[in-house]
Amino acid sequence: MGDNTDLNRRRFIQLALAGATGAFVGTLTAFGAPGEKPELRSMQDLSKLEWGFLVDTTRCIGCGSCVRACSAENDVPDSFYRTWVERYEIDKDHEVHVDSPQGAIESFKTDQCEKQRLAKGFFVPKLCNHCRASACTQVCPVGASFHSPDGVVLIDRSRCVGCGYCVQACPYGCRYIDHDIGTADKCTLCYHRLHRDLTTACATACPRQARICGDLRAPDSPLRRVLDQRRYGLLKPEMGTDPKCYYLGLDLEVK
Amino acid sequence: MWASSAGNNRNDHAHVTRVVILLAIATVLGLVIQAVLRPDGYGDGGEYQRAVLEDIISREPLHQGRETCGECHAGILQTHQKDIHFDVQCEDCHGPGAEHVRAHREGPPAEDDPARLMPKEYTLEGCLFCHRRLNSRPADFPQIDPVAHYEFLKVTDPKTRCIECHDPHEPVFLLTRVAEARTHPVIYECVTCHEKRPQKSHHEAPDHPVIFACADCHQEIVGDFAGRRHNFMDCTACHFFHRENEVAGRIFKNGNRRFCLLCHERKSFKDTEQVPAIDSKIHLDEFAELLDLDPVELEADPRACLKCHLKEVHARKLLGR
Repeated sequence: MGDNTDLNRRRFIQLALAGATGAFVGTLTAFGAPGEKPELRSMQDLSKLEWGFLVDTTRCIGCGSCVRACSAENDVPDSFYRTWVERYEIDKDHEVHVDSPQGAIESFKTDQCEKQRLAKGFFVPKLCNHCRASACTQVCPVGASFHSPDGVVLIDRSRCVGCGYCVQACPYGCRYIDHDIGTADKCTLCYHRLHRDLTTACATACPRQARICGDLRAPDSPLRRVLDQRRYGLLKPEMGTDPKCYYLGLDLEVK
Repeated sequence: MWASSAGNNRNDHAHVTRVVILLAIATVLGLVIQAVLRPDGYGDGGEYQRAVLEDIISREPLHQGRETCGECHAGILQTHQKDIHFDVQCEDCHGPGAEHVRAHREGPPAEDDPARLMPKEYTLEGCLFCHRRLNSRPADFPQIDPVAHYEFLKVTDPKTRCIECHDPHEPVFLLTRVAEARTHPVIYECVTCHEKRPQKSHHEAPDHPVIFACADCHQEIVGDFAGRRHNFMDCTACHFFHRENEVAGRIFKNGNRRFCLLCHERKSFKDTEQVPAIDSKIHLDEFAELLDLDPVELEADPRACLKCHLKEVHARKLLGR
């Protein structure tokens, strides 16, 4: 009887201590710093995802909110852009005028083409296509460019030697050399945000919902739903890079 | 001849064997060198790539999203969500909020902390990022030519900011309560028939089928209005049509004081010679004294202007109210 009580007491103290420790650790987790680093999903879990992107050019108004948001979010150096907006103006002689002043970070100030001369005009936001068969990762001599298991083309800055092969190889002009750190850099599809269950900065900032980022394999993701309902195009499909950035309302003139 | 050839066979194989051995040695050597030089866990999906991904996701998101803003600024967010700018993120105009949120979560920030307040007001240029008239912009998106807009409004200072008149949180129906809107039996939208909102008004298209004009039903009011001082304006300047995505037609009436003052309040940037302008406070106080009214009550009355100026608009009794 006495032994039993003793044991119970010991067990009670053990349990109480464990409980208190658990509660303490739990509190730390619950009320930790808001921007705490999320846990990286396992490689198996990641390979079940396939991130893709969709741009609805018919909705884009060329305001440049995406460019401003991207540049701030990712600390992109001046005069380089991870996403930018191009304006296509096709005049009545079928001549195409394309411009993107400073990547449209401050939108567009003037018309290139007079209203009477303009046949049609539209905006095309561009960003890394995160190609399945990307040219940029193939040419990297040090293996610094790679595909993440969830289909995002990323750069290992510690290995990149800044040779610039990838900048030349990308048919979409989506890479640049960051001269401050001496490596190539590019759109990461806001990989740090995706891991916190947030969408990309540009898609968040778009006031017209012209950009959607989502998982191509999830049948109920907003991206998949739009792709299943609307007719879309790809940029430069003849390059064989198998891009994952889909465009609605793409014109033949868009290169 | 055959014999000698057969005799030399062993010698013929010798150089092949040598090459095979050399290749084998080179392969083994290569594998060994690779094993030594290759970092641990290198390869697709290996631990090496994991480390890089860990590094990439350690970046802090700067854009917080409107839900985070709403934790403290619930009132403004609620207003904002009801008006046409509902899809414009707070941070599109105010800038990324990470620093501001961090400063306030850590407790009340110091007076001189730059993160204490977000950039509050947007410049004229900021609004024009979206709303400047461009030929390439979708025609159904509201856009203005700032020069023409200011000329129409008799604004003299071209640097005048939009927020002097428009509230960015509720740009469209700011001055009229939804409760005041009345459902209207006949309202046609361009997009009822046209796939896209046309660039011209139907008045400008000579062969456009006749659609209802305000005068078709409200002949008396329109006729009365034609003789008044405001007759250069369209009915829809004061009576807003319904929102784009509403099924039932709604007319929003604007006869309230703040609406009148959008044009008639004395402001440094306005041309007062062409548009009669007043200092509303002084003006109201004068009239309160003259008419022996309670100035506080008059100040609070949204229809204060119409007490005297109804004749400038149109006869009230014809409104059918």
